[in-house]
Amino acid sequence: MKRIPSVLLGAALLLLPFFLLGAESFEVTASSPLLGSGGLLSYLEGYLNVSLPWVDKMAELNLSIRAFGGQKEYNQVFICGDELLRDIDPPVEHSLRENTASILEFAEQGSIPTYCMIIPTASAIRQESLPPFAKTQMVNQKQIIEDVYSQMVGRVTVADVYPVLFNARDQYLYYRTEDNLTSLGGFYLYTVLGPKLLEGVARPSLSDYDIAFVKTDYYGSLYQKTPYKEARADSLAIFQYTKTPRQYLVTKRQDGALKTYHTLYPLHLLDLGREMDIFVGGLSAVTTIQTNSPYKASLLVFGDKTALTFLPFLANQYSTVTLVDLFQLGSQEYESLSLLDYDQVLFAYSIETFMHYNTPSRANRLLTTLEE
Amino acid sequence: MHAMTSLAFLYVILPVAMAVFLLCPPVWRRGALLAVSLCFFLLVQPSTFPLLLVCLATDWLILAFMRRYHDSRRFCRGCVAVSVVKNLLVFLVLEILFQMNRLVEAPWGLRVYLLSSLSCILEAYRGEVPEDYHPVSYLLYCCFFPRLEAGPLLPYRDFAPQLEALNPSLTDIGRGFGLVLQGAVKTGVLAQALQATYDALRAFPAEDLTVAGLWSAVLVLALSVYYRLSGLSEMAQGIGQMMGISLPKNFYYPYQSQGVTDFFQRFLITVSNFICRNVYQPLHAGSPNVLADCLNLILWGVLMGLWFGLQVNYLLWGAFLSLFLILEKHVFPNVMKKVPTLFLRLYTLGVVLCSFAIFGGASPGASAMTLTNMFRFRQLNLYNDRLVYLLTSNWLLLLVSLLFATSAVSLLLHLLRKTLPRFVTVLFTAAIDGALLVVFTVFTIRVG
Repeated sequence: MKRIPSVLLGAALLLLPFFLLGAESFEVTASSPLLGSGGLLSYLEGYLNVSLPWVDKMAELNLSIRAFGGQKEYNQVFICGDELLRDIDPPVEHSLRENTASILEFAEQGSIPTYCMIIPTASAIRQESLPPFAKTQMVNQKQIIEDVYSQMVGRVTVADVYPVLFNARDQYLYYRTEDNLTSLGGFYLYTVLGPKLLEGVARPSLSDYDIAFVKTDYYGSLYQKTPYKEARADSLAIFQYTKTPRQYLVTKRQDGALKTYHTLYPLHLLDLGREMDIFVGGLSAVTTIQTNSPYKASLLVFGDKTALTFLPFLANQYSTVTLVDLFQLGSQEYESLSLLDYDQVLFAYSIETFMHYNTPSRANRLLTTLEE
Repeated sequence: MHAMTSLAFLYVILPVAMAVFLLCPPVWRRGALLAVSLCFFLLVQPSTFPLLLVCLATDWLILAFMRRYHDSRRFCRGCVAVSVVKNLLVFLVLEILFQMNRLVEAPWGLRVYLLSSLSCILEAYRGEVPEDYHPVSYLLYCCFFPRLEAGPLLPYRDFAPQLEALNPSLTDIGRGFGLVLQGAVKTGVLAQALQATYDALRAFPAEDLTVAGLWSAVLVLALSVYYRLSGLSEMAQGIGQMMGISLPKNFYYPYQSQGVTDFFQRFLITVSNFICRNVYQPLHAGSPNVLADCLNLILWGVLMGLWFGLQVNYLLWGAFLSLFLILEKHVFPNVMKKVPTLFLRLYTLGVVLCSFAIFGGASPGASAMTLTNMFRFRQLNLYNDRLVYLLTSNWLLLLVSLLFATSAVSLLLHLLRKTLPRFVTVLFTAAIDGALLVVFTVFTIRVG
């Protein structure tokens, strides 16, 4: 009796290599550096990782066992029911200091009204959704934003969006599967930013906009980062300003090339699989939005992808809004910009960009355009 | 990931090795096993294959000289000295080069084949083995592939006779494969997950350090080391059994020990026996000198630490445990006999965990700091939310690891086997083996 399982197991194991060799051909992917210098061993390992029967089921079982065993975080993404929240690394003090100092220097030397908005991430605003006890290990984004703003008092006008976002945290402000704010989240940013930037303009209201859901089954970058597939799909909404008709010309400059759209929302990009680019055509080195707004002011925005969420709202109140991504900005694009063309400058970054990268500090290079 | 805990090993290399072994006529099996071992070595780390051959060839020559001049005791002593110095130098030089980042990876199997060939020479010197060594047996003893990762070590005189008749039964193959799966799950699943948990615990910033956090970290480290080494040893035992070779146990529930002396009889058993046989007993040899014995015990501990690598913390780990060996043997021998079992186990666990605080430190200073902080109940918080989050995120892993580090499950299974009908026991065993295979595969495939 004891021999039967041995015989069956032995036969299964001896037949398995033949079964695997009969499987579809496999391309060698990056070899595993963990298995020493043996290239063949790495090849076999990679082959088996894709060829073993029921690999997908085993991946699901892996996840289920880990989830049952208490694990709620994969690749720095928290799994919180039907949504995914990204964890962010602790701040890089050097970047925080440099960015703050650069903005202050810009405000002093630029002599242009300068504004600053640091946007918290979903893990701060929706911290109640985090797994139990995970909150305490998160970066205290509120404190960091307050510390930065306290250094800017009197010299830069700051827009503190944290309280507004936090009070509306139960609303659909952040995507469930993408690391960014939704259009509604962008609107909430605009409700704080607008009155700071624009004196005399009526307080924004949702009734000024027609809201249309252009895609209701979007799965973003966070969804691809984790093996967790139970997150609820996101809906992409566009807000069309209906209070007074507007015409738009969106010009995008990237690597010397030029693209234009006559809408804030080029929806044809949905069909190309570039869902997040429907918001002002996506993030380019320089994006200029010109409108037939009765307000003749012009605004220069230094920002990251979070700026795309509130730009469609701001654009209606200016004749020209230019969004510059300093990370992508090349020397050609630098030369095409001049601070003299703008009435106001806004630094609008996600707190993650602000405390990890020195991107905002590159704006000071444009101060030379004031000397011309 | 170790070469032996990869999918490739379990699903391709092991079946092919078994097929080659079983299809060979029994007379050729010894040679076939050697060929398989050498091929596996070439698969894992071809760059150090010449080193393996040179080291073994050198010691084979020394054996040949000892055989030829066996009448000259002085000459044989000289040969032993040459071999000891040679093997020690090779080990030390390569370890130092690896730690200075001059080597891309640590030489695979170095400790095992150097110690095995040295063991051959020492046994020959003591007259414990016949003089006519079979070269295939010698080579197979030194580089039998399942043993190369982490042992177990055993004397040549226990290994070589088994090679005369390599005829495993189907029961041996079945039982052996069960052991292989057990070992694979221990080292490929539990040990890796525990190591990741330990790394996360060690990454706590200074302001988040708590007493419970530090104790948790050393406990997790102790479990990780145990599962990694015991898993590899069990895989070696299992593969050996599948091929008709009986290898000794290397671990026997060390964290249930009753005293540090008992701990060394349960943790890295074969390494401890090797040091006792070849270092401690020759040096001690019935001497009543307590001071000499204390020094020998410290040397024993240091050599146990050297098994893990050439790092000061590993040597201090061994020396620390040796101090308690000395206390138990020479200062409190009678006290040890009178203390109840539970307190003995708690005392041993406490000492062992403190030793792993030394083991896991980046430097002696860091280890001392950790050890101090583990007892700073007034200055540090007992626990915090961050620790609770990490432990609750891994509750299943910790529970399973703690449970299987004790003999409770083994006793339960033994009881079940005694009470249940035979066919139920067989089915149950097959089901467990199947579950282990699934668990190993599920946690070894790359996810996401």
